[in-house]
Amino acid sequence: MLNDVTFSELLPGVHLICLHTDKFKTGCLSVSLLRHLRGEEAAKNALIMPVLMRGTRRCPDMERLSAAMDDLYGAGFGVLLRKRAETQAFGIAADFIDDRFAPEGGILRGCADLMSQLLLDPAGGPGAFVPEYFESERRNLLDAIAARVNDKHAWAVRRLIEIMCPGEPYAIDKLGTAGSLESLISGDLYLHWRDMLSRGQMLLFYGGSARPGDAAAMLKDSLSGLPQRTEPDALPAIIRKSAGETKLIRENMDVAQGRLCIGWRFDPDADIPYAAAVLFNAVFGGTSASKLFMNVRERLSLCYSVDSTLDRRKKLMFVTAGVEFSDLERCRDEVFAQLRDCAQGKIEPCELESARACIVSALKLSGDSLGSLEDYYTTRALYGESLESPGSFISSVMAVSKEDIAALAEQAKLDTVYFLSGYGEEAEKDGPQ
Amino acid sequence: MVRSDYPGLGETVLRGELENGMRLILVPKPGFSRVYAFLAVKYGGMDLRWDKNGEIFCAPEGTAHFLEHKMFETDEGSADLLLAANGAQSNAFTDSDMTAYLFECSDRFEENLRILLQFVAEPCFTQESVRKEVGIINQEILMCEDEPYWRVNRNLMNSLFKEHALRFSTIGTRESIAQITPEILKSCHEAFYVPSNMVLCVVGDVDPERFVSTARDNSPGRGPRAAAHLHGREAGPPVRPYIEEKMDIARPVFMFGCKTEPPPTGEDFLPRSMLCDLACDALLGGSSPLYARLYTRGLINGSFEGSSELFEGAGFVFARGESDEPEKVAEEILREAERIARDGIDEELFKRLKRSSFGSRLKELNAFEMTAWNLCDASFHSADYYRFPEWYERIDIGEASRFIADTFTEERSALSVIRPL
Repeated sequence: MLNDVTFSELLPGVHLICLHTDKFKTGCLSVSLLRHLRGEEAAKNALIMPVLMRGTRRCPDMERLSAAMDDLYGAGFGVLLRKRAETQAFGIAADFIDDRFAPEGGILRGCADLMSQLLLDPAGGPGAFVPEYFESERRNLLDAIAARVNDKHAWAVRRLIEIMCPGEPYAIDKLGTAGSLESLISGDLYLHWRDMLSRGQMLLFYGGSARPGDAAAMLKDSLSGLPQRTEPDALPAIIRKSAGETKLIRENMDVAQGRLCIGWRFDPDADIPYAAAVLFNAVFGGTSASKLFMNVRERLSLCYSVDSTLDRRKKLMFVTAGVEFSDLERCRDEVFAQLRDCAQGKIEPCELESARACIVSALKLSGDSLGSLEDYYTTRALYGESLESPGSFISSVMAVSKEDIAALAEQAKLDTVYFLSGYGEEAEKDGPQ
Repeated sequence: MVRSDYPGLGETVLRGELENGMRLILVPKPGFSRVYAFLAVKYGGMDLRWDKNGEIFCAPEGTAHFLEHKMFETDEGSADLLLAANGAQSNAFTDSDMTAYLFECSDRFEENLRILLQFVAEPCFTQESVRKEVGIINQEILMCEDEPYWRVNRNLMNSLFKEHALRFSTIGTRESIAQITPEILKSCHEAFYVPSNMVLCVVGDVDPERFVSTARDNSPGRGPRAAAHLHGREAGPPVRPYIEEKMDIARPVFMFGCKTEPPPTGEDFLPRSMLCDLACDALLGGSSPLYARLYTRGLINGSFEGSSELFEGAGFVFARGESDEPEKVAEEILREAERIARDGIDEELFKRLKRSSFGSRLKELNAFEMTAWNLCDASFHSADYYRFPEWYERIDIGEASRFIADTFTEERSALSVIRPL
């Protein structure tokens, strides 16, 4: 069975990752423009694709665009918008049935064509977007920014990051801010889009059964309408800081359940090896066999969900939990106790081995989903990391010891504790505990 | 095991039945490391009343979901941990009409399957462990109560249905789960967790004979027949046409629903369900004229979607999303349904939708979870899911138009709205 990854430069600053595989019934195509996260630019970047997705010169409205996708056997084209550490990636992703399942073939070519039309040849051009498309998508994005409050869990996590990383690009949301959209006019967005096409770094991914050379030629051809490329802007290094004085913030909202979010920072100068990071996270709170799950949820019945997340590139770690208002402090103390146990090496062999087995299994399984592979390879490529397969990390995961995990846990310094409570709870904003 | 090949889908399925009545399905996936096992029990959140040997039993709202949580308890500790020790990720969920236990792994498949079958067969909980679980599920309920889409859906179900058990929440309420005892859980287990009421589906590159022998050696002997579900049967008008609640959200969230006629049972169920979904796509989907009109006028955004949900004895169609004017959206949907009742669905649109729905189902075959769920669900309806290409062929545009005309009417509809504070 085929499974080869190649990386090539199609044009200056335009790279293609090609995963040649016949394992799936579908193919996947994505194009991402990569930009350093900036407060004044993030919302504009987030708005470009929704406006472009409203119509192309050949399919100038939603009905005709949907009809074109239906004709490609329900090819799904969606806006791609990601935040990876301090980089914003925005573009289009498509999944479609592989040519061998379509009687007349030609699906990949049709999708590459449609993607190129969407990216380069909008309705209304040249010179301007269709004014009503711009205006309605601007409104939609403003609504989406306002609607973030609907998801209380994500809200609490975002507040933790804002409080923890003020002034750092990391604190900027991938949707950007409402303020920068209020006065934005269509002409400015149009110029920004043209500017991005000429100097934004561009990353393409194709996964499917077409031969890499053929796919590259087809995609290069489909980008022939790109404006003259200039030297792309480099992505600056990620800002990493030491934990300062601990911040304790409590906020209130009309919620049924309290949310606890805790953030730690690791030593900005110390290296965090991939294998130790994933294994530590799995032991601490990343799986349903982790210390947090088994103690905070199963032993103490304090919550239904409790998880840890470790961002080894930014060198941060978060824990989030949904708990009764009156149990917020108790839950926090138990999380601290479990982290202390990790740092002191109090890790049972079965805890370590379960975590290891879960990670090894996850690495093997990630090769079985085209969507995960797209995310995995484009993320590694945007950080400038080598395009090894997920399975190639298994041997280093096997070599991680309890001491490695303890050393990493010891490095985690508490930065911020954030409580989201209902009204009627005491609202306070104070300094260190 | 009997082998069926589906060359148009590039799939093969092996099917069999154990002596105890448990149905087995294997979807071979050569070249994949991933093995996915899915054990489905035909018992879900709406099974609150049942008939066992002529005697009627009732359970509190949320019992099936509570039981699902508690089944993970074994004499050797939590089944989660036993599976995790082998690198298997386990999970479970409870739907309105199904409870499913699943794991995925890359190694030690047979050992993991043994653990799965054994913990689902044998309840091990105690008074104390049931009491502790109440704390965890209470937090799950509170988490759901903070989700506007969950609330808008609950309110719609309560407004559409008076008799049918769809009006109950699968997860239960804080009050209802407080009444659940080990005895109630055991009686539900006895009534429904019998081999003939279960389907075990495995998707992955495993040896068929060893799969069958592991399943045979680790599932109970022939049990009693499963109890008869008593969900009720309901068509008729909704309980109330409108319900509204307020939450700390930015923009109103709505769900508009219409009750369908109770669907047919047996092998006609799934073709009917596909017809209803396709009709909903023609009326509400991204390629429909209505969608484009509402979107252009700013009445809906990308969150808008619509579909149908059919169950034994009842069903409904719905459209949901965010809108500043939910009443207007509902009105426009009914008006467009009237137009379709008059003029029929556009033929070109319908042809394209058939093609695109077929493509979407084909894409879903990549997802092991969806494959297993679809095959088990179809098996409960005595149908073969992989016959969907011919079901699509048979869907008649006139019948789809009639479904829209008969279902999307004011008399059958209710609107549920969550508004910002």
